[in-house]
Amino acid sequence: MNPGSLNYFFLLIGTMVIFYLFKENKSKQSILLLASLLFLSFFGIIPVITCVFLSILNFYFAQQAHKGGYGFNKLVIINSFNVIVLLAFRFVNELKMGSLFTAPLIGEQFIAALGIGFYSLQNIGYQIDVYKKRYFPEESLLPFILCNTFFTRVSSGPILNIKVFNTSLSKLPIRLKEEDFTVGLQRILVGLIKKIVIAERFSYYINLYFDGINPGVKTGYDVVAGSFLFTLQLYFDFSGYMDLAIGSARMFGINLNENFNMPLRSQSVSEWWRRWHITLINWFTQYIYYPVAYRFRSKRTLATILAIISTFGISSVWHGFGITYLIWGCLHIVYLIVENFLKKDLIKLNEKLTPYYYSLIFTPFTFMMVSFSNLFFRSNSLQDAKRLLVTLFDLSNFWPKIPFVTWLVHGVHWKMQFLLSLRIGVIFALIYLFFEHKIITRLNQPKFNVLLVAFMIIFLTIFGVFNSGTRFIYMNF
Amino acid sequence: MWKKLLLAILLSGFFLFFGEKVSDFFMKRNPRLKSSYITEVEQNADILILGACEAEMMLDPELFERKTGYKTFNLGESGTRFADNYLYLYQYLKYQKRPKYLILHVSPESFYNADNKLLTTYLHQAFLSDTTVYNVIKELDPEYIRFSKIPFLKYSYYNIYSLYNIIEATGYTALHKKYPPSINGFVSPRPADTVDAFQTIINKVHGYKWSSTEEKYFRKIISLCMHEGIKPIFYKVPYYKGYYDANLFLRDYETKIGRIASENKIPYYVYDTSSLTKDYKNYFWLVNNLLSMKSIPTFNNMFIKDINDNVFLHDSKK
Amino acid sequence: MRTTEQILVELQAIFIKEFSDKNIILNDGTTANDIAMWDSLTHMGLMDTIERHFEISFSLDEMISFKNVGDLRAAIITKLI
Repeated sequence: MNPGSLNYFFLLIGTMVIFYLFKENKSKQSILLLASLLFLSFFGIIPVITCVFLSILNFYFAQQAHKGGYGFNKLVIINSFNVIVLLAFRFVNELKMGSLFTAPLIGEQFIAALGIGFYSLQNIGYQIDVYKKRYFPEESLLPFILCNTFFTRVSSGPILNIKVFNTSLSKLPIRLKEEDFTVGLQRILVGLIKKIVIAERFSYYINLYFDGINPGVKTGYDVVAGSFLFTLQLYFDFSGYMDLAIGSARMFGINLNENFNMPLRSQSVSEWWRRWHITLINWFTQYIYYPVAYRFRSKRTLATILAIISTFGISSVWHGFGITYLIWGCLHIVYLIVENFLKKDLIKLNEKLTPYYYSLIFTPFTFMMVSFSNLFFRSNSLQDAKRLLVTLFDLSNFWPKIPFVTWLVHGVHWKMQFLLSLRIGVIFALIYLFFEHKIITRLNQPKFNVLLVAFMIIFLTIFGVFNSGTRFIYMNF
Repeated sequence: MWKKLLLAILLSGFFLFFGEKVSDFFMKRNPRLKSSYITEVEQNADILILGACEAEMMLDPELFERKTGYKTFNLGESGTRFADNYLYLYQYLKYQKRPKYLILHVSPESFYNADNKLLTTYLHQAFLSDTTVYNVIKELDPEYIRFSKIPFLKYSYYNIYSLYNIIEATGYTALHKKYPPSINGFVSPRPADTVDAFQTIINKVHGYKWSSTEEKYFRKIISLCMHEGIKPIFYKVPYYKGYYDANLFLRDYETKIGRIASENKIPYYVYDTSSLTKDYKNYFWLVNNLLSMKSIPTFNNMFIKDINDNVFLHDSKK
Repeated sequence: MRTTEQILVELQAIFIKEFSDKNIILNDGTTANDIAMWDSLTHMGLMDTIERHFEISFSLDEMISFKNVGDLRAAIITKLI
């Protein structure tokens, strides 16, 4: 079951109805847990067993270890176990269906395999926090399992902090508040629009660019277009999922952390990583970056470089095995280190150019740099990536050899249907990005606006790509 | 709150329902889709050509009419499968005079099911109210039927295709363009300078599987013809020789098709031995079986001569 | 024994030197958002300089928990006593 599929909404509505029938907090929590296990069971019995087993193990381990003095050895044992299970799952998944991010983004196994990545990180972080005595171990099992399995976000994050999550669990609303419902509904609708109207629309073209079924890539222009589209798709798909997760959780009065903060407006790659997939980056910062930087802080710049390398090294392995992810990680390491060295100059440049003109130059530049790294992120293999790079840097063959007007009217090599659809998608994406701040503010307003909701439903239904058309990939002839 | 939600749903539901009805009207009149040739214009054809792009672009009704004297209409449509062809034939018989002959393109590739695509659903969106159409779609694309219950989703489900079609059809209707653009349904392939140079795909094809669903609908077309007293003729366009040599199993499939044809006493014309197949310049673009504009008349004359001598003359003597 | 004002003055000098920015003026409410150069990449270096200057040592958790200069100054004072 995909978040965003019809089944997901049946589950969500069903859970909401039962959830608000009960008054006691404990029963409400149990209902959420049951719904979450039901959701996981759609992916098969193994994800359920693994998730529950790992939760129980981590829960009791932390309790026992805390009682008997949490030694470093114990921390190593439990977290090695967590890491090994995580890697084993990823590895098996990769063997079965290829790399996570190149597999169809909507694949269900993909989601289940990604899920274990998220809750394993939560567990690892929890063990470290208890070891470091940042807080006491959890006392009741149910919220702990729920924190790992909570169905609106198990598949794609955001990564939760057990303590924060527990606070919202203890304050579950007795009746559905209008504010929660309105904001939740609006977030769900906008998430669906991002995902179904824009990201799904792009996925068809991205398959053509990257999966080599059709000779979609002929010139450098195609590579640029493909990588830009992929970055856009990744953002709309992923942040759409987040809106769904956050909006659905709001229906139960639970506030999840935001995972994106308008990343496409970043003016540097380091800013990008403060705005993109925030909870994951926070996790990496807290448990990898800072400890490394702290340990070597007397080495100054070297410490920063070491910390960046270890963070993105581990991050690239977390995203997937394979040389392409490693290159992706290395690119970001280089970006960040270079930025770190140029930081003072960039700040001076910002003052000289005034922030407005600075952003005009560096926002697109950052987007380009990230898109370039995403070429590797999305490529199926090193050969594919190489082929794309060779095409990209073959400057004599950069622009398709057609007159500009032909390009404007007919595009490069799509049929008219596809061209129109692609351009509609790009226009919608740009409009959204341009007004992103206003839209987000509007959506978080707690007053139910009939016209706004009706408009979103109509827009979603008319422009939604409910079948991304991959079935018709051979349609060209 | 609930009242407001209900109001929002009703408001959007009403709007979408209205939109669906308007789109129905226009989609039936999209002149680029063959369905509008069936429902909007009287054809009176004696020979009906059916199949995918090999039929739509490789058989020229004008040549047929000149050589045989029979009025010919080309109902082929790019990218269609047997189930689509079956629905087209069904629709044609519902709205038009019964033809004498049905020429159907059948090749081994017609039974190869790429990506499980059994039906080009979006070609039949506007005709969901017909029970036969509905049942075929329900069998082959149940997910679509599930979604189509929601207002307007029957169009937005295959949004990438439908959106353009609706806009195009509305444009045609609004501008009163000549209708339909080609009188006999023939769509000539794009001239070579707008498409890429021929790329020889003579690779070995893997994962070729004979689809039983395709066979089922193939047989359904045959039995519909028998039921209506239409005489079917099967043919296969010349395939580029290099491709066939690399994929010898295609011959087995051909034999299998021939067996089904002879079971029903239907002639099956195969043009692989002809001189056309050796030279890749006779082909266009990257597909191994699409003839260039230059070689279409040669092939058509060859084919017309064969059926004229063996079928039409034979029939008229009786 | 330094006064709290003295610590702020010394901190300001450290910040100015560390980030080579003469315009930095610190008060208790100053956060990383107010100083362009101060972010997670430069934080540990800054902390190291402060540790050396005052001859104290922070734990990792302490370093991460400072929300503004006021927190930092308070922590320094407790260490110095």
